[in-house]
Amino acid sequence: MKIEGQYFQPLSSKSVPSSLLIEDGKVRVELNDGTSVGQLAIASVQGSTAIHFKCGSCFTSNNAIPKEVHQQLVGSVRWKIIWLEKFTATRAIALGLILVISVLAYKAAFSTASGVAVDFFPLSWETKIGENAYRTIRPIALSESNLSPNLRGKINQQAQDIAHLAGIEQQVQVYFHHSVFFDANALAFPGGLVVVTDRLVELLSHEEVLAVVAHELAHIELRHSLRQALEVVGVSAIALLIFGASESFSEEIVAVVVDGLLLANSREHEKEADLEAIRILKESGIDPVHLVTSLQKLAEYYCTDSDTSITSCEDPALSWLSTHPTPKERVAYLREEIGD
Amino acid sequence: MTNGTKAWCFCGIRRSNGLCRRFGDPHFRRGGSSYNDEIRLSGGDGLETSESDRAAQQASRQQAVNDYGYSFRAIEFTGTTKEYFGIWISNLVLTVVTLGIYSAWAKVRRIRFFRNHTIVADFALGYHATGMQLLIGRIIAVAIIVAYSIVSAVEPIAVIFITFAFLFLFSWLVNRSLRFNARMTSWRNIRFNWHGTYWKTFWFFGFLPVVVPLTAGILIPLAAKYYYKYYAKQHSFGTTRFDADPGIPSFYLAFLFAIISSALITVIVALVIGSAVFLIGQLLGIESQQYPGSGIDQPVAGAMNLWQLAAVTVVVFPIALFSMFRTMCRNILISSLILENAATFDSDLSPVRYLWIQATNFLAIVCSLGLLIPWASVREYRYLSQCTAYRFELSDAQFVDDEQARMSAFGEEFASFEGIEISI
Repeated sequence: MKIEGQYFQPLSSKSVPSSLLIEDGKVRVELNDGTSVGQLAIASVQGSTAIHFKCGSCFTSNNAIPKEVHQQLVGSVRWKIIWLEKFTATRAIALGLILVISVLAYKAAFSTASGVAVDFFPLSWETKIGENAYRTIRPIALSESNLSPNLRGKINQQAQDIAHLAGIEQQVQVYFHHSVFFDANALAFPGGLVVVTDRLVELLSHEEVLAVVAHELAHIELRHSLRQALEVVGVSAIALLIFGASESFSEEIVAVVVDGLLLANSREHEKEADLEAIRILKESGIDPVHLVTSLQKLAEYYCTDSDTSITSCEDPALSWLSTHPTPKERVAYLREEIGD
Repeated sequence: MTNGTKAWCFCGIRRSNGLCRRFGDPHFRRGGSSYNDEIRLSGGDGLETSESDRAAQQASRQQAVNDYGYSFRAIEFTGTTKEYFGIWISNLVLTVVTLGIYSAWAKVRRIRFFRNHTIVADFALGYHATGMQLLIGRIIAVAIIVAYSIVSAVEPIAVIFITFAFLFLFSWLVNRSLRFNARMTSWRNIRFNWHGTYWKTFWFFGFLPVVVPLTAGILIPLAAKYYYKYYAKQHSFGTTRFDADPGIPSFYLAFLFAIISSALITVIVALVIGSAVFLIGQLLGIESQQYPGSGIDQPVAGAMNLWQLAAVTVVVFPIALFSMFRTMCRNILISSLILENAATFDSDLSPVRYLWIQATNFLAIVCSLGLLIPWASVREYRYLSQCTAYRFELSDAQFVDDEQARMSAFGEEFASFEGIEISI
């Protein structure tokens, strides 16, 4: 097979009329002055006319390179990819379906993989991460507690007793802070650190505060923060690799999708923590119904607050944006679990 | 505006040959006989040349006129959305199925599609990076980023030292990235090159971006002029260096124009969004919420409050300003760009039209959940090509290249992951 075109010597833009010949799988270029250039190894075939060689020379065909020659030059694997790239409606739909199935499969795989990775993650590292996170948030959103030292000491001691009775490995420590940002709330940090806000203590009874602490201890025991972090890292890393960094808008779409997936994960974790908290409370001899009543009081506090712009906490249309299941859902499955 | 007269057009920007660029007009003026009469005879550096040299140059230029016409020729882009969509979706699927490993080859394929369909004087550009080069660079980059994330979570104090080290590493990465991109692009078998030095790159990418904003924007056009000049002069085509010496007043005028246009665009966008919100509110019967400190005493059904309008301004104005100023800087640079005595260039991008293309592309991608990315990419690239032109001054210009050792893609890939994109 002979192809007419122009040959460029290595490192030069000067072209010479020539012919490309392929014989027994070997490529040779014959210049019009009669000289011949052999032993040419192909670096790449670009577009439909340009063949670049590894020595730095180049051959440009006068017309599009015939298909059979193109296939010979690029090899079978590359030729299959070129076939895949040729757009047809059927092929596009098939590829789209493969994409959707793959994404769903990866989501399932990441959940399993992060569970396995959590088991191997050292507790000491997790504690350090939790302490660092607390130190970061503290100056931003937490101020000194106004609760009496006796009350703080009592709740902290009881929390440690609850953790011990429930067989929780991590060393538990409860801190109390006044927080405008978090209002009535409790936070669990990886490794055993729990923060309870003054407003929560003022709002709930003593047993209800302990029930909320038990919920946070469940997060710590189940290592939800670490699991979530590993899933974020795993999903984000794959997403980055998939979309690359040069199509930056794709990155933004992926970030939104990842956030959406993580919100769904977060709601699952909250449910797990609620159900595990029931076990922890039972082990400690505290009636788990206090968890239900604490949720009801908090729901009433947040959802009827005149300062809030959300008119209803029970709006199912917005529930997918929430990190927690709705209070109604939580009370329902808790009552079912308690048998109330 | 006629050839040779120093006239000012409405946009306030005139080219050195006296011709005015009309914004929104993507068609180049055809030189015709007036250009033939004005063929420059200097050697490009203003020095005297001998009679015989002048005669040879004149003959060569006449040959260029015969071959290419004396008018500028726009760069051709022959790619289509249909062809790119096939490449895009197969890239996506193969990348997902291979857990991201194919993404390096996908990037090569994507860039090669655009380069191979970019035609200059009947020859297409080439792109020579390989998937394996990018993959190795990418793996190293990801490993460093993951290690940094773990260290910052476990030992935050180490972050300070790492960040400090990164400030100095940054210029090295930028240089490597620019050199890699240049060396991987070719035309007529000659590769481009980048000759920037570490400290000069540090000056333009590390020092000036910190200092210039402190001048309340006064030095931005001046910094832009020297940045673009550096960017141009450090590139070469083989061993032939590019040169550019754009005038400072052009950048200041461009900056002023960008500020005024961006302010107008922001007002228009705020009015459009505000009206849309109001109409939707009316249709759905939504009552507005009173937000603390909104400054509005009487709630208006569905209307945006001052805070929301301010948010629109804060988002839209800098985006519009950056886009328009950058577009005009590109025009100024390319219009003054020369490739020694061999070629001159021109750029006639309309900043408003380009901003419109970018904005509508964004909306199209969002509304189509990403399916229109191929269409948007081709559309933008086609516009950039159409508005960029070249003119060969010598018909027999022969270029030679430097021998260069095989390059690693680490700098390019790390820069990509950190969102560092250096281009005009």
